[in-house]
Amino acid sequence: MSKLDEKQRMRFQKLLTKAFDRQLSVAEEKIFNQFLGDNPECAKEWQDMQSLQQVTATMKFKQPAKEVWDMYWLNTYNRMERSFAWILFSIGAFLIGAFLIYDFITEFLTDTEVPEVLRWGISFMAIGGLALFISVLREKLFTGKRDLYREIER
Amino acid sequence: MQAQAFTEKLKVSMIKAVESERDLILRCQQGDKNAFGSLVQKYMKRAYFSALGFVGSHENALDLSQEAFVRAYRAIQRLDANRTFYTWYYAILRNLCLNFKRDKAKHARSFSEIGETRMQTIADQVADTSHGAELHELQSAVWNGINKLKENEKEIIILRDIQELSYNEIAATLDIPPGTVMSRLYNARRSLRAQLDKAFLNQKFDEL
Repeated sequence: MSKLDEKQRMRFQKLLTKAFDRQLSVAEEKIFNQFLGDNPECAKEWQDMQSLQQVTATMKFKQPAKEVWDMYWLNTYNRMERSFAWILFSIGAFLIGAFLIYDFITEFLTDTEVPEVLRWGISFMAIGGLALFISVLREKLFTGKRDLYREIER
Repeated sequence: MQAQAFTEKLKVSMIKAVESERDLILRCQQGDKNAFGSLVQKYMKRAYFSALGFVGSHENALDLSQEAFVRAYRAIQRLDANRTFYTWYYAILRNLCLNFKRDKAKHARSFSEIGETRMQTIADQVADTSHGAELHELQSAVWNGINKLKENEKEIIILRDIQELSYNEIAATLDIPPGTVMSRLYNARRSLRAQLDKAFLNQKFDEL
């Protein structure tokens, strides 16, 4: 029995990994068995790993229903299309929104013919409406996606 | 002689595969959605199962793997056509899954839940026998152990032991040398075994 030096330890680790995955060649298997025979620590480590291997070998992901794969590309394609549409929509909405705000400030708020109380009233209403819109949009876009209970039938 | 011929054949088929993927990437970069569809169909299963390994729920895995494809398509111009598509895509998917998990960290479903919903186990087939029930218990313990590992340890165990990718496939997916795959696997399995020992399951494992 001999204590393994760093180089031997590395060699054993590589062989152990291959043994776990049943990838040892005949020559490597010989060397691996020699390690196990010469060193009880190596033998113990292999024994521990073998029992783990027996369990992990039985653990496989369940295949989802066939329809999931049939619809996968179609769903991805729809998402691609929608994401492109959203980008265009967002740019358009931003440009229109910016123009309306600019127009509102330069035309409406500076118009001395409009009574001051009306200008203040409409300003508050516009700010409130914008805040409500952003809040609802945020809820729809982000909170809805993160609803922890969305998979539970109510 | 026969082995040499086989190796040559394998080399030729690998070169063909790389060439056809390169062709698909170039077509995608010219806006060909069908070419992108071919890439999606080629990798969708691997993508889905990788996402499932990260997030643990069918719906989220489906959602995130598809979202990663959408983002990949949007950024396809930046992909070097000589690279493997999946390695590049996997980096997008991985980031997306880790961000998702971070966002839901407090309420994320535990990995052990996969054991209940998405795992095909021998215990399911032999549930009537006491050995089957015991194995099922050990599988749950292993899932809990995996859940407690560091993210990169968890990832490599799932890629190799659950998804059964070869060392070379893992190396290509994670963009690391095969030697690093083996040393990471070794360390991850040791950590996993240590987790199980901590849970006093060593006796049960030794009885196997």
